[in-house]
Amino acid sequence: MIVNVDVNGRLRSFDVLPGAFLLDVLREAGYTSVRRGCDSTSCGICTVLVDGKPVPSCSYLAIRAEGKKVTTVEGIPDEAARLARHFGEEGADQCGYCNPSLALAVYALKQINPGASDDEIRVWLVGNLCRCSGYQSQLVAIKRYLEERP
Amino acid sequence: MRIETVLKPASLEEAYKAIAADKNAVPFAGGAWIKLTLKEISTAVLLDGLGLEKIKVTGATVEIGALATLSDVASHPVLGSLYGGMLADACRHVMGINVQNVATLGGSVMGGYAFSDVLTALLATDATLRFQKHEPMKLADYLDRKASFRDLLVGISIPQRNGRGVFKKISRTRLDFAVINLAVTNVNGLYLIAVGARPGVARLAKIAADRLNEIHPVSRFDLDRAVSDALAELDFGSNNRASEEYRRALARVLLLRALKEVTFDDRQR
Repeated sequence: MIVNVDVNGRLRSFDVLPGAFLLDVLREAGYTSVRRGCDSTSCGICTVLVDGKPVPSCSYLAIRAEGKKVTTVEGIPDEAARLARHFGEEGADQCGYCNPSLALAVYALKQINPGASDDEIRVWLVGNLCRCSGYQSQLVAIKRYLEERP
Repeated sequence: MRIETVLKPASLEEAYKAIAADKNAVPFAGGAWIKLTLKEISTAVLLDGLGLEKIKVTGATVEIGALATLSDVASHPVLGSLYGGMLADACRHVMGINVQNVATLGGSVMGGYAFSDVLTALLATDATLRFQKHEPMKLADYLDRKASFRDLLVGISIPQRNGRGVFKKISRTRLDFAVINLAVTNVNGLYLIAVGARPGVARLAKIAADRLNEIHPVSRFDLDRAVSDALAELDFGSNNRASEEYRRALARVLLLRALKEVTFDDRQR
């Protein structure tokens, strides 16, 4: 089946199996920032934006992305670099495996609630697990990122 | 989960026929949980683009399309205040925003998941299910039905009544399924009490609510007795999340709190 998707502003056509998930299709197409974690809709590592909203790509049928805009972290290089700088300054990451999904989730939050409180950030990111950081330094880095003017 | 083929029907009727004709055909809503069921699916019937995503407010009801996501419900202005925003609150308690953006109300209902927070809250709103073929059916009756039937859920109707409501949930982590959840509404002295994740699928505590509904005004003593009635009529069990005893202990405390919140003003509690 052919699926036409706008990935990071570029129209792509993918030939997919009926049961293919967006995670596998994107990775096979070279978008390797989209990572496999639990593969069961729980950890948030595979998060991408579909029409601007964070979704778990491991359980999102690729065919449902027909005609939609999909954003991976490759599609927001400047924003990802800004967030990465704050992460570095705050010592907010170690292995980096969850960083692309976290960056996308935080970027989506910035679009709708740039003045998010600590609690709002925590609730927004409850579905994005990180097994290195302990979250507190991430929270500080994310606050600084959100406070930045674009 | 393995999917042999995908159908993108042009109409609800076409979707219904595909599901009715093949017992291994599955209507595909958000897909958040279905992957975990490891089903062999002959045809995944996609319901996108059939107008089931909408939430409409009429005079007497809020009509929620089966494909409205939990995020849609959580951010809807009317549902955010109806029965104290109880249903929106329950939707916000389901995992993280990424899952809430794909999980749908229809999928939560038709999945019949025992862990569901949404089903518990919906039960306490006296929701009615609307199908493509069958007559509308109360959610409570649907969950109690003896015979199964294959149909397409197209929407859920929630009465717009002026009343109080509250949803409560205990889970081991914010991201985990509920150890116990419950929802209570009070509309002009008529109570509905729903308890889920016991670990069975959500059920109404009818005896407790019926007795309470005969009493005006309700006292703290009446609420204590309603909690005992509910615990006596509902079945609780053990699984890897919690023991039956622990669930009962939690339900006793949470249900009394919930009943007080929908019965008394702050200073009376």
